[in-house]
Amino acid sequence: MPARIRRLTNAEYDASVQQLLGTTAAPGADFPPDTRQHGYTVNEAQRVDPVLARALDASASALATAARPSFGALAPCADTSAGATACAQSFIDSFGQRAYRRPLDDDDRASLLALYEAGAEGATYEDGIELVIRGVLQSPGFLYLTEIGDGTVTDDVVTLTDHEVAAELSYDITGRPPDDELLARAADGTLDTPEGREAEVRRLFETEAGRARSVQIVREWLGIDRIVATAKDSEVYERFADVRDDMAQETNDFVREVLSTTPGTVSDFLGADWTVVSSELAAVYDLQGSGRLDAPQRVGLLNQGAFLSVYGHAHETAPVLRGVAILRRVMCSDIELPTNLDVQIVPPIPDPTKTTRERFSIHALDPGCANCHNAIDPLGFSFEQFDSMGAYRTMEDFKDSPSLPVDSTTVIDRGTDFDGSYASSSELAAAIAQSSAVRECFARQVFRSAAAEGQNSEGYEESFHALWDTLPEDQKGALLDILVAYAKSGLFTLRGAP
Amino acid sequence: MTSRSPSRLSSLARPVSTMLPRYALARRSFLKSLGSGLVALPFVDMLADSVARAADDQPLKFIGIYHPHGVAAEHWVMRDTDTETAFDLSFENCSLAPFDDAATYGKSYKDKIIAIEGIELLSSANGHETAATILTGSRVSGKPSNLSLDQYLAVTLGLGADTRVASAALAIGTDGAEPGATLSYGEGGAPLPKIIDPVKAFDLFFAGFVVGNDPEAIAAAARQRALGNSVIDFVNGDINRLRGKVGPREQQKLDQHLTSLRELEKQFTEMTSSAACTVPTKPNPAQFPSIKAYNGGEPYYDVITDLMVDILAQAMACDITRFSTLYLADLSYAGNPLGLPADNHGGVAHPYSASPIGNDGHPGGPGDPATWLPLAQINRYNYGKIARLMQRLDEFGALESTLIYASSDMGNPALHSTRNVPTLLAGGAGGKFQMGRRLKMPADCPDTDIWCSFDSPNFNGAPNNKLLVSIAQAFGAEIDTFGTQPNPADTTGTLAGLV
Repeated sequence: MPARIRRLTNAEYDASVQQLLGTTAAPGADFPPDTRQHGYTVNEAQRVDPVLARALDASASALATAARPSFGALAPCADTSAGATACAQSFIDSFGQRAYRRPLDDDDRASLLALYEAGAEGATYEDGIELVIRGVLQSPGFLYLTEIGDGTVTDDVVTLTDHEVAAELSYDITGRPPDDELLARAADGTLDTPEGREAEVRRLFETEAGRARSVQIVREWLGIDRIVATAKDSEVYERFADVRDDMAQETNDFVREVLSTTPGTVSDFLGADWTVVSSELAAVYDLQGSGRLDAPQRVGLLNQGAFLSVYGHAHETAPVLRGVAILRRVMCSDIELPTNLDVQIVPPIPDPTKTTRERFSIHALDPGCANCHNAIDPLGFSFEQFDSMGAYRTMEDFKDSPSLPVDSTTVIDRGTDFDGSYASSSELAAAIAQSSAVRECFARQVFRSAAAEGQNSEGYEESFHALWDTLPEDQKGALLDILVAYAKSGLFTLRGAP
Repeated sequence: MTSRSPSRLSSLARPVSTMLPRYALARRSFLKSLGSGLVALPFVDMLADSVARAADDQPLKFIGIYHPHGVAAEHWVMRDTDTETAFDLSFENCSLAPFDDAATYGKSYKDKIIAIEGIELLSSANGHETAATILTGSRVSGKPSNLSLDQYLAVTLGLGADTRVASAALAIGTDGAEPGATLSYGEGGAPLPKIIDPVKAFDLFFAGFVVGNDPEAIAAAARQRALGNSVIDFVNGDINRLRGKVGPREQQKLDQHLTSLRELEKQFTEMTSSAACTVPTKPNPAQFPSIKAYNGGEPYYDVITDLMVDILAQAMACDITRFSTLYLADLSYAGNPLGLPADNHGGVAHPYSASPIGNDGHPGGPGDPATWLPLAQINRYNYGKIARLMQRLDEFGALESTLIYASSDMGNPALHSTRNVPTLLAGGAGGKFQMGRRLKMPADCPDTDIWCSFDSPNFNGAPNNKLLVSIAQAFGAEIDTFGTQPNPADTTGTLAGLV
């Protein structure tokens, strides 16, 4: 991958200012949304556009002002009348190094001191410190992760510095700046070795921040982070608004439970016959109780509320969206958009004498549509036992006409390694969970989520795939082992010279 | 490797490399900056009741507007008795009626619009992603390939450089960056974020302007400006040092960052304009407890839209900005004032069953008139907001010097068709276009091939690229092509019959 800089995502920004200033504020939540690449927020395409620049200055200004009560600890100064400049220099050294995730150079110090003086001139020491904080939080040293090495180029390759590796590793695995332990490993050279990096990945993966980051990776993999912005027609799905947040919570709790109690492989994520739900969501699922519950009719993430609701229309199910999501996200199969094929899209018109499945089956009859829809629809139709918010059903209801029985049986016959007949989406999910093609796709997706090269990553994916292929079988599908494989590799520590 | 490489397809006429900002790297003296300006007066006087009045030489302003759910053509297209310059907007359920409704909007704006039939959005994408094509004229694959017209005019041509805000992107309800929800794009089709909170829109245009006549407040404001400039100088210096250590792709990121800082810097610059200008009342957030779609924002869309319209009109009139986009929303909530189904998309747009007038030549029956009316109501509602914008601009003396371009992403929404998209120009357009007309483009496909694809030799449609070229030329741009399409004929030339 090329030597590069990558702007912090909004979530990484929040985690970084929280660690730096000890605040609980999360101003990034109100920033313009992150640009996504392949669905992932961690990518090199993030920019600072005028709206964000304004938001960053407002945020930095507010955070710096709010930090004033803690200047005594953050920027102590025994005598501001005589030694203010020395105190400021000392603060700049300690604070700047933590904010930039690397030691300061002379230019850094000089420009920060000039900023201090601009703030303190005609005002106070504290005013100067406040302005330094406001500036640091908008500096490229803080806002961008740099992967550019120390300027030494060998055979067109640069080796990342220990501090860069520490930052890359920390943000990849925990979404936060390095902790003291990791900085110590950077300082003592441990991160120069694959084994040293592996130990740190394994340590950080088990931390609370590591768990939160794993949840984020899984959510972005399936696109189910969008559950928080999913809406349903309240006249059709009256209960949805009340359980939407519970569905987001279910993903969080489920992923953590998988990582704590199983090998944490894609087979576990997609094939678990249990889930973790609130009592309100359990009621929607026709389950009794709350917490971890057996759910043999609701196998894995694909049969949980977040996936079924995100890939559902506001007023009816969306077999096509569900099928396409599995093809694209789970199978890494790039299905063409119909418009690229000059196929006119005609959404099936409402017809209360037909089920959704019967209406959407029209695709298979049109030769222009059938080629793709024969791949999409058999996957999507198997979920028809769940309505558009994931509630179990045997009948499809209509407003002014009799209910009709739903059909969730399906036959997969596309040359996949899970071809076969299935009675329901849970049977299908159990088979998908064991697919080696799906496992290979999962490794590709995890690489994308961490490598941050976004739409440019195809070539690097092949390099990663080659080394992934050498892993022992029991590691190939495990989230942690895939991340370890990346962190140990040259892809992680070497960059093409600028 | 670099995202700036020119497209293989036909692209903007202006070489992309000339669009890069160039920076004088000299750093301002902090102390000089701090010491000056302490006694200068703010340019806005809140007590003044005067408003900016149109001068003959007012610079031309542009507002690009999106409205959702296509069009009920039956209530929109020209009637048999209409001519180009003599037409009726007052027939029953005409969705363009707000432009001839003096009782509601103060006067008739019939002579300040051009409604154009038969425009095609060549997105080659699902109708829902086609909002991205409206101002880019680009095919859409995840994103468009080139920047949008507002950015071309404001940034590339530099027509926004002299104003406090070079360009603004406002929206109702959705702050997402997906192509279906974004009108404004930077270089390479990078989506630009939108402001959906009326308070933030107010702050963008007017924050820091009003300091009254209190000397202490004036001094404090001057210090705030000086501190802001010091921070910008500092960040500028750091970015330029980093810029020297990275390759071209990364330099492009930093160049954009520098451009953004220049925009931010305007916030800390005193306005030197002599125009008098009334600052609108800051919106009260209690009027809209929630602003985001799907998080309970919908009940407040109507009030949010009105606030955005009023703030935008005043900002334009004050010459705080000359370029803006406005992304309108529907009214998808139970109990909406139009009495429509809570799900406008599923309950109004999809069931639309067109007559031959609205079905793009698709063979079919007479359609279902009961499905036309709800969609026409949505169209009329959105046109009402555009009429309100015109009314406000008119009150502030800025309508004559403004050009509004409004479009939906689709024509027939049940087909998700990007053909025959409802297209409206509005405002005085600085006299560049003869307003007060209805235009109808020739049929896009011959009767023998009514579904002809955009790439077919039979295709004779009017891509909106030509409209974008016409608008760009009205702003003085010396280009004759805009957008990214495989066939250069689609991107080249002005819209026939417009001028």
